[in-house]
Amino acid sequence: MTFVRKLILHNLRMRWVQSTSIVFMVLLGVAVLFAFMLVGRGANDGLALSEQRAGAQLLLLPAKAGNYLSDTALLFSGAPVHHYMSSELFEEVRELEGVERATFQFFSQTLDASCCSASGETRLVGIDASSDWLVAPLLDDPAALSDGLADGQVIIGAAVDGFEKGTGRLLNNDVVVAAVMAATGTGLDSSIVVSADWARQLAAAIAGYQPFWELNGQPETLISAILLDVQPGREERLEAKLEALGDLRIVERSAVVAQTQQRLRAVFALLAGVAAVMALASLLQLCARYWSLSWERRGEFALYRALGATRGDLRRLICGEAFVLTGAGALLGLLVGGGLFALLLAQLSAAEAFPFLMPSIAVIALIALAVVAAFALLALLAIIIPLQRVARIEPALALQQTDIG
Amino acid sequence: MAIAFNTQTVVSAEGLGRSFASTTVIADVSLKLNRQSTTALVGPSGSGKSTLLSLLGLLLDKSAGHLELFGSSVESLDAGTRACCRRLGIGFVFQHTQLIGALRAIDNVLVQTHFLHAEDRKVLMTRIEGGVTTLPKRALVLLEAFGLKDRVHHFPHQLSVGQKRRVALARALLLKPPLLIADEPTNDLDAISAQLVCEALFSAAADGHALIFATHDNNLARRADVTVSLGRAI
Repeated sequence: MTFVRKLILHNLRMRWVQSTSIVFMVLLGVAVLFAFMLVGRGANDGLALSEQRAGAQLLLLPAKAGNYLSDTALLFSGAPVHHYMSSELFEEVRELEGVERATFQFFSQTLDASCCSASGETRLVGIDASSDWLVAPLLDDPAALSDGLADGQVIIGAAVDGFEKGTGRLLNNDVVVAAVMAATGTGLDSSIVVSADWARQLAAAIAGYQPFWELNGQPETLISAILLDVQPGREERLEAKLEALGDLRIVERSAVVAQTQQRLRAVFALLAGVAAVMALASLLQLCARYWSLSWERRGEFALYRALGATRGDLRRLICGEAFVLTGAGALLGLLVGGGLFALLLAQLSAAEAFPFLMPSIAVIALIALAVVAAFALLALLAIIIPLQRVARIEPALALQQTDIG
Repeated sequence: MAIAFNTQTVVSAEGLGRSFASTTVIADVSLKLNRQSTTALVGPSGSGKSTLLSLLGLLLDKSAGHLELFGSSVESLDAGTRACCRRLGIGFVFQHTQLIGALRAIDNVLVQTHFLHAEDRKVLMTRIEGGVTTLPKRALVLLEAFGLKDRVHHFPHQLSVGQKRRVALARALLLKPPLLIADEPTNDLDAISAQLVCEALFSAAADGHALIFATHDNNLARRADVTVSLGRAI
């Protein structure tokens, strides 16, 4: 064990309250900053990606669907909507002046490990391959949708697992994975896509869904959502026509994205404020600690000077100690920050739907590095004055001491 | 600036003085320390013995006079060279031992080695057989020679005053410095410990060190080749 490490361990032991408080303060600051930066980055990326990939400009749903779900939940979270409308409505909408293109989707039950290969909660979505332009661009095999989807063929979202070998089980049926979608940061990532016809057949066989069919008609005549793009300059007129069609919930993507961005900005400003306060508190704590350290240990430093240590040697000693304490706090902080990140994500997801894209390992590593570097810089700032004080210690001071520490 | 540590005359002082504010602690002290010489500083408490030793050990700056160490005037030495002199040229046995409580006896002896610079290794190669790599072994040998074989891994608080003084002496002798300074080395020691420390100091002088020590012990002072009396004589 090196001399410096021995001294640091001794210092930790002898002044354990102060040393632990430094480590704890750094730990807290790093954890908060790390977790907040991960949430911020994931939400930012999710929002950008969902804006880029969410596709349709307008989402039309039965009006009742909006009674208990917000627009953001409908657009981003992929919350299951068991409300249906007649497929004839789709034909009407498609024919409206100003519609650039339109497609429909049929939402079925939420799947889990009890019925399917998917281990997590997964949404089953039926699409109309002939009119779809939303799913096709996301596929790893762009040709997979060119001939439509046969019964027993599925497209899985980026976050769906359990189909690694290209096959799996879905509501007592063997299925083959035709393609995998790229991540979108939305509920599509946790969706299994099948043809709308097969989705309806599967839904018709679910005993618990009979009340839906009694209320709305047989599933083969129903759809859940219409998605459409509008010709430029026709937005207002088309919206008026859509409203005239009756009980429709119209979700405008750009408005929802803007609103979500605004909310997220407010949340992140708050998070950034908390992180800044934590960083400042850490800086003050470190300053106070090293200020007192340079006073408490001046006899020890004087002895080193008397034994031939240069001012540079003492600076290296102080820096080493500061960085070891900061490093320990930072490493522990990253671990705690990872846990805090998971907790925050769960809380934010439960409280408000927003698009989120889990940062890659490389991004997480980069953020971790940035946070640690930031706290290393704080430690450096905190020891500047103590370093100057220690460098001024004269070796003659050693004569006034007894045993050191 | 490179220092020639192998000079025969280790210290040469003329009219040395030191004042603190308006108080003159020592004035007009002249002495010369050669290798293998032993010098005793005597005088009542407050007569400036420790101050003089601090001046010679480059722990304090002089206020007056001329001081040469290893043939170089101390005025001409920059801070780095002065530190180098303290590291390689001077072994200091402090009055209160000044061991580091965090470190075991062996690590206290070796503490100076952690501040060695690259160029120091060349100097030590000529001074100690095997150079710096043998220093841990040399530290053990010194502790054993001072009767501390079974105290090597003890912390200072587990040692008696006499044992601590011997650890401090081993620390001072580790790098075989040409100048050995001891401030009241037998103070507070029992007769046996005092005898052990004295023998170690005089043995080091016989080996080529220049030894100067402050003491209130007349018997010890009488063993020195030269006695310098400060202030009122005992």
